[in-house]
Amino acid sequence: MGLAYNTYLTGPNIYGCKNCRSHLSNYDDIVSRNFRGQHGKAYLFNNVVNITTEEPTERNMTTGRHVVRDIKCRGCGETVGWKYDKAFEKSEQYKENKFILEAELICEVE
Amino acid sequence: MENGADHLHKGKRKKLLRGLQRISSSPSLRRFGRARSSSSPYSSTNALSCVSLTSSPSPFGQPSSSSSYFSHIPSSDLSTAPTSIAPSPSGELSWLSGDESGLPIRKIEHPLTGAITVSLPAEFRKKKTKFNLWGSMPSEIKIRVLSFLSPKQLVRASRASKDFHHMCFDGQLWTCFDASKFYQEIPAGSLAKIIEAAGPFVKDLNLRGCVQVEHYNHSEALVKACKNLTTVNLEGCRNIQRTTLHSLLKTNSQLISLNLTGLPSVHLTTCKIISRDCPQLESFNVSGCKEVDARGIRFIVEGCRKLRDLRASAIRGFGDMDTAKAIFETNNLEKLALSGCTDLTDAAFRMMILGPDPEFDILSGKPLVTPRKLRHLDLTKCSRLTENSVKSLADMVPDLEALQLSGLTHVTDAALEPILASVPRLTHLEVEDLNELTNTLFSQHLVKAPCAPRLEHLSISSCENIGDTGMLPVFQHCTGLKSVYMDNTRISDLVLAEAATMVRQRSLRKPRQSSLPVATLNLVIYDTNHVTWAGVLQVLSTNAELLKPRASDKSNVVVVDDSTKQPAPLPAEIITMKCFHTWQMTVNEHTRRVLKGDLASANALAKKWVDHMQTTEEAGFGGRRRRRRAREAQQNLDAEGVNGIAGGGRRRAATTGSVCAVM
Repeated sequence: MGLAYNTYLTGPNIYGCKNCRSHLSNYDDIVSRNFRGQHGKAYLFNNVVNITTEEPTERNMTTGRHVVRDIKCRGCGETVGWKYDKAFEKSEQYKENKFILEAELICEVE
Repeated sequence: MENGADHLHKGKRKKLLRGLQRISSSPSLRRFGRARSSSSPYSSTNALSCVSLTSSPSPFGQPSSSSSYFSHIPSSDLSTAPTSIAPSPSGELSWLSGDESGLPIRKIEHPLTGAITVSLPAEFRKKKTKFNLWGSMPSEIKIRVLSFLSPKQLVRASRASKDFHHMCFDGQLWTCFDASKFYQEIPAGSLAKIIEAAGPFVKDLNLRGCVQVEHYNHSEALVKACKNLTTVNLEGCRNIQRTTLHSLLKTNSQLISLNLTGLPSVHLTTCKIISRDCPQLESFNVSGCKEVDARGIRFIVEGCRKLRDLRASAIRGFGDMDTAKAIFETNNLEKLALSGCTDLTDAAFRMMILGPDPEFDILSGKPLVTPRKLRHLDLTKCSRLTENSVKSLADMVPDLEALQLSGLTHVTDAALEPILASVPRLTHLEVEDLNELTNTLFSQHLVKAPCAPRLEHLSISSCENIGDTGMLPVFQHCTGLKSVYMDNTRISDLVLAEAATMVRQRSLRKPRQSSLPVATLNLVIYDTNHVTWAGVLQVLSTNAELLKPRASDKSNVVVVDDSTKQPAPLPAEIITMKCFHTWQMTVNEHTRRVLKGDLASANALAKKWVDHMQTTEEAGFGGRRRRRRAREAQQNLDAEGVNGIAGGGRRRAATTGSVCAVM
């Protein structure tokens, strides 16, 4: 693999990886902040950059069965959340192809 | 005359074909005009974008001499056959019109002016010299021309010739080297070469994201060359080596602004070097450097007396009292960002603000300490801080403009009340996640604070106790608001209606900037259980409502004069919203139409949305639930909803899925 360059976002409020401060997403991309993850609060984002995805797995969440894949920060390899691949309930389908970032694992960068 | 006509035909044809040239459609070419010998196509004001005749009709048939005006047509091989041609101008034209079928030329209509001029005979004509426009320009002008090119274009242009190479790498063009626009495309070697060539001229160096700067040789060039840097941004150059960084800092004593975010190679020695060798430093950002701790910050604060902007987010060890004391003693800091510094203790923070052993006035209890010059304070997620230290900010920061206390979950009203009363210049207030705050803080203290009319940005996300009782007065009194983040709170449609009224009233008071509406208030209201589509609709309708004098408005600024039949003007200020995601697209489209001024289609869209929402609601238990929610919203005004949230929220979650998805 060659050198991995980071993408940099512009905007007033940018969230980044807590470990290496790579940019992950924008405040404007938040769809909802009312989610819970393993470490507490989590936010649902439309689009996230500088991440690598893992293999998809099926998980049972309180809202039903979903197929998700974990996402890791490209700079440091720390898990920062997951991505919804498929939701089996009709009311949950709005989450498909959107990303969850856990609030404990991200920080706000300039 | 027939022979002459044939001869004319052939010779003329050759000359015409030779004289053909394409003319661009830009009228600027006309400025290249030497005086044409007569009315040429250029004299017309229309732009020409086609092949045209170059020769001009003249009685002496001077196609050879007129075409010699254009340097790319060799004049040597044109025979001097003009004498055989002796038509009158109109005759020439008639020849043209007669013969056009034989020539691959499109005839252009152009007005012939009356005057036909004749070119100078050969002996008086000036010798055609080669005019080297670029070469004869003074170099200062050349540099000015090149200064309009971007760095990438400059590097490309430098390959044109040796002269160009020399000029393009002239230091004056590279005083501000911003690699953050093309950091992914430039290899380390080229980067080093450019910086080496620019050398001591570079003052502003931005290498954000250049992870390719690692190789010892290349970074050596960087260091040796740059001696006069004032602004350096090395964010994300994670492969840069410590020795390189140190040498760079040692040789650049004029540094004013330094950004070393996220570099693992920065540590205590680096801080010592900075404090010793960069006395002019005013702005320093070392956020996220894991090897640095608060002792390094102490060295810098003590060494760089001019430091005004210190950003040390996510640095360990801020419980150190010596660092806190150093920060207190310098009192020069205007911006201090310590977000994520989880080691920051109450005692250390108190020391930073009040100093060691502060005295308090016996009567009023106010501290007798010089006020701090802080204008922007960021303490997000410093989870060890409690209200004991936060309230020490009261009366100590009179110039404060931005205060970020998000994530300090144990802070209560008691800490914030005295602060709000003593910061008249506050424009930004962020108190996300402070779920112990209550409505009285806002309804009683914020609205009465001296900063209320100036407040521009307020964020109360996830303050679960805040509801209408707190926010309605805020919208009534804080008329300068530009953005309010209210997600995950208990606000309801009434707050939205109040916001819409406030924006409308304040827009009537101010003179209009433009005839189209301008978005001046941004509300973030997703994840609120009590905001219904009716509330959002209310805001959208107010956005799209023409200005008319209403009975409730006090000001009579806008009066529609019936006699002149002027149309009612568009609203001056509108609200943009980030709401529940299923409605977001409708809201965005509606806002877009209003901003264009197209109120009719915006209203049509709103009507369609209303119909859609009503049919989808009636499909379920719609009718009953809507009435119940409206009742609950009203109840919230009287008593903070005891039963309201849980029942309505959960039921709503079943249909809309907006509430937590617990893993």
